[in-house]
Amino acid sequence: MLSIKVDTVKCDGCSLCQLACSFAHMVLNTKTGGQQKFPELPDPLLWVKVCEGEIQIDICRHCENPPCADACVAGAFKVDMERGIVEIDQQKCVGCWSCVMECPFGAIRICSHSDKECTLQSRAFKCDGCSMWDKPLCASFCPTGAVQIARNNNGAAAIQRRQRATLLQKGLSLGAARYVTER
Amino acid sequence: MPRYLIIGNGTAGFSAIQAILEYDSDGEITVISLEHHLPYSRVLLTHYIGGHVSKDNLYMTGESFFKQKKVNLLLGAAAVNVDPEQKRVELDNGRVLSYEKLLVATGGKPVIPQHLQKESPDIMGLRTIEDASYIRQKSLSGAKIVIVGGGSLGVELTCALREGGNFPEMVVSSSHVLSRVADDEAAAVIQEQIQSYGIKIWTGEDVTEVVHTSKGVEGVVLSGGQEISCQVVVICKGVQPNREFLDRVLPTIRGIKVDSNMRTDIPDVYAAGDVVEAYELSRQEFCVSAIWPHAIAQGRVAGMNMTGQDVIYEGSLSRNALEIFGLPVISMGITRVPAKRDWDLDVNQDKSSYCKLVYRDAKLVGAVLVGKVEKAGKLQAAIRKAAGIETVLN
Repeated sequence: MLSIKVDTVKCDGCSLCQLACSFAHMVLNTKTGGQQKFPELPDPLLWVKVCEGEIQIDICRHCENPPCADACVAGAFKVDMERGIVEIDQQKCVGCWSCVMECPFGAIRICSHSDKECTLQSRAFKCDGCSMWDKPLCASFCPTGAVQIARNNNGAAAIQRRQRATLLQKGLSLGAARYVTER
Repeated sequence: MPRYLIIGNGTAGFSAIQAILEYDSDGEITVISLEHHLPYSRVLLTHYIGGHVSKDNLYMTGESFFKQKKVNLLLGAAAVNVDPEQKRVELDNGRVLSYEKLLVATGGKPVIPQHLQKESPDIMGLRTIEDASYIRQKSLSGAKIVIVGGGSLGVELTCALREGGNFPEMVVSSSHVLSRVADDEAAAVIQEQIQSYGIKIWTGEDVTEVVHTSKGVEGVVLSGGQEISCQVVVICKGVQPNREFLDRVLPTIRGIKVDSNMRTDIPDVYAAGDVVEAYELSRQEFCVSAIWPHAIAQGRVAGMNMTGQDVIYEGSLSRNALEIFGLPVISMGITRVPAKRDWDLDVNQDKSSYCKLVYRDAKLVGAVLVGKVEKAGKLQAAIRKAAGIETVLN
């Protein structure tokens, strides 16, 4: 299971996490043993920014009940129960912005290229859970502990709990008022 | 006797099937589908026309799902009557099916104004795979297409056709496109973006007549008198609920009203998706809000409650996301402010973005974002929170 804790009070806005994220994904994509040259760093998959005087860290929490997955019209979001990760299948994504509209953490971006010739290729991207690293590099490099990520291997019971919780909570919303039809 | 009967094989129906299977794996499920298709994503149809997805990728599941889960799928059949006393549904092919729990998830059909209803395949709405395939084929063969209606479907179709190399013309009765989902300022930006790609938009105009000869559609006449020559007219003036077969037992002029358990006023009959009129959080009234996430949530709540669970649908929140040639637009809740006290506005605009927040009684009830839309999800959570809804995420 992947548990992500974000404490913006601790964040001093250094954005080292963003840089670490870019490097982590650059190394992952280097299959040529460092022979390949990169024109620039890949986009990070989390974002630190100051908004109205407050620091915000936009990173996917890999929710048990991901509203992004529910909103996806193309079936591109998948919940990997064993790893506890919400993933985007880039082959299926059509870049419709529905997931961006749903994520309460503002953790999804769309990579959109459009020109006058209308060669449009929009795709959603977000934190991929950094499966290749024991501990995701954003958390490892955070000097203040504002981003903390733990990967717990709780085994089958946790997976079952997640599966159950996912379905239950999808329907339930705490505090919702009941209403009746009026005729 | 089949226990669960679902009329409609769209997003809401499929969502309900999955919920029922999870909670009552022994239950017998029968699904009636008017279309001869496995459940597919209607929202992707414009993306299919624009060439972003293949036909195969429109489908939400394969035939094997229905076989494995032993869900009976009756394709090409429509319900014509429901008998709530006998708990039976009559089909158009004469068959009668009995049920213990019934879900009406029949969706909607395009609204075609009376004066445009002509017997021609080239005057059409866009709702099914067949419609989309026809438009795509016409577009690729270079046909001139006129799109009537400037709502989100009309705009998405226009963009899709343009991306495929076709230059359609839009006829919009309001002074702007997207008059329902965006405010005037945002709509003006959007309209400029569409026009900059060489699309002609006729605003404040309606199609009064389709010129139709033995050769087919030859053009349309606008209310201002102009004639546009074209070969295909696609009418995107919204959808209306498919609920005529319930007229005898649930008379209504709009959608089927449901309570927070997605129950209709008939015992053991539930409804979900584009056919229902559910409680809307920002408007604080019952209305039809035919969008994908509502269909998913309502189908799931209905399905779970049909198995005996007690799950509440928290209410709808009208919202819309679309991209116009690289320019994202997201609108949520109430976007037009009535000139009354207790309403407030917060507008931020610069060269590349527009953001309007709408408050009622100092509570956020709506937002329009153009250009920079990353915070849309956070704003939606804020609107829900202001309405008293806290969703459990993790």
